[in-house]
Amino acid sequence: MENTSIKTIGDLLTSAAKERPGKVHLREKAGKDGIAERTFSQLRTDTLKVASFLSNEGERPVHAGIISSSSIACITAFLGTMTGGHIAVPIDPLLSAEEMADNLMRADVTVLFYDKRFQGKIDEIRKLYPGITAYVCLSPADGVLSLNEVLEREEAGEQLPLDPAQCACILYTSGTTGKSKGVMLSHGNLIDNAYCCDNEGDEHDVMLSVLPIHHAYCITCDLLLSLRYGATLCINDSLMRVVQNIALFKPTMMLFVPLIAETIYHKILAEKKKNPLIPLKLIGQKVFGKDLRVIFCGGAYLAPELIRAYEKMGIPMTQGYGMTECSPRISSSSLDDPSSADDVGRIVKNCQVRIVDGEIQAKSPSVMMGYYHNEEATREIFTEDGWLKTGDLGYVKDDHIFITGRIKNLIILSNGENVSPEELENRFLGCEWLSEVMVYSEGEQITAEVYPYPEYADKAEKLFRKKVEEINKSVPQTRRIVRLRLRDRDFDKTTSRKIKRNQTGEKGRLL
Amino acid sequence: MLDKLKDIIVRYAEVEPDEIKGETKLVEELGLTSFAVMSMMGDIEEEFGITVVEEELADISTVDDVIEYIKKKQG
Repeated sequence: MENTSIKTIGDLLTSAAKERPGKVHLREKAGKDGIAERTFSQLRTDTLKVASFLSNEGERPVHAGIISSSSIACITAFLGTMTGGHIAVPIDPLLSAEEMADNLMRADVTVLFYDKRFQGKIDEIRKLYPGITAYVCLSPADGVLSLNEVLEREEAGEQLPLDPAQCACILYTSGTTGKSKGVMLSHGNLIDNAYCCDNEGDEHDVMLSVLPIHHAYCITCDLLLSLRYGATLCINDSLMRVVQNIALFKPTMMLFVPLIAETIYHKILAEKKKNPLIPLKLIGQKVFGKDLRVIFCGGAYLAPELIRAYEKMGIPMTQGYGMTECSPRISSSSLDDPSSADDVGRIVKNCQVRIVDGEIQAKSPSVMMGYYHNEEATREIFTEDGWLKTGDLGYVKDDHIFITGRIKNLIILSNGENVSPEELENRFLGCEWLSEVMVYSEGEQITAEVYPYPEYADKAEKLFRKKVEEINKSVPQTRRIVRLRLRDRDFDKTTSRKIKRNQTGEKGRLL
Repeated sequence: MLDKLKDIIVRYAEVEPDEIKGETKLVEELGLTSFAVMSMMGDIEEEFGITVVEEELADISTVDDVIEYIKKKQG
């Protein structure tokens, strides 16, 4: 069905609350055995109160950072910021305090909502970035303004008219060079992407959200889709408890990244090995429950074998392709239009795709406004005639996209995270023992390979290990260098003396 | 405890139980991804009746570290 009336996050929240005021939208674990819930109407009221609060904190748009794992409180702050015409800046809570402070500063954040689990990092941020004038803890905390207090004292004002072209959020994404970039997504971008496919669900669906709220994929395909379809969205409290929470919340739909699909499947296979007489399908049902009717998988390459494995267990898996800069979907398969073995789905509505020199380029109302305060990077990612360069190689056949490779120098882990090799390589700058370094992935593991100066040959291994230990202390676990290789000759170079990313010949010795 | 722990580890790693020793590194040697480590700790919570705190997992890198953690949580 064509969407003609929903143009902004405000419209979406208003519409959802109007159509199903008393229906439970959000559910999460509370305490040992309890469940907390918010209806569509309650969430609507709470978001309007957050909007009012922020309007008193500065001239619109206030830039509000959010450092939290997914929760009802976090979602309330996130949606409330956007519905008030302010700009939400959700930050990966696994970053170091220094990286967080840097991201907050570069996004001109002045208000910060945070989960008190990250209090230590918040205390550091206070010292590193004095630009934040208001801190709001997402749960009750002594001596600190809490979201509960905000919701108790603020009035829920009227929804202000919003311009679909105005910025709704800034999401950080790793680029191919240096620092992460702030992707500005407008209300129009997000709404277009939330409505770019049809028949994905309905109000009888129960979703379990396991992905982090700072990812475009989670924002659009968990949160906004649940509002669009009137589905209940249950919140996974920890990646430790995905399987346990599936048993608790009994979802009918889930959003995965390939890593989650692989890990759970591996666990199922281990169970099958222990109990060879039990059919795989039954073991799968024990893990996923009888209600799960589809898993949407995206964020990274999904092996066709995994799709087939899940289908054998009676669980259809659809997949999509996209990038944060596209809010994020460029293509998506569906139950009515499944992918073949190699494609990543049909090009979504309103999106145009062309191939130039083998590279996939996209034009769509979902394509970002640009990178925040980074005109140079914005210019570089768009062609002169306004198409987004994805950095991926591929082709289109019958409106389906096939990926064949990648131009951009980015490691994409199967958990959907982008890791910039150059960002990690830059951390080695200043090492007097080091002549050359290259970071790349071997399977899921991040490898650093170094060529030390010959005069440091006997000390190189020790110095290398020490440096990696130092680097790993300041990056999230998923971005840590796990494999170390030491070379006794320099890397192959291009004619312009740059290290070739595709090295031939033997790799360095694995330490 | 080690045997029960090995039963859990093999759900996520491509190894046989007798290949797992106390000093075995979860990521570098068993090839566990961060999500596999988290899922494993979730199973450990249920098996040993403890509550795992995510923020405390940063220092866990070997099988012995996991055993020490379980003992600490059991009190």
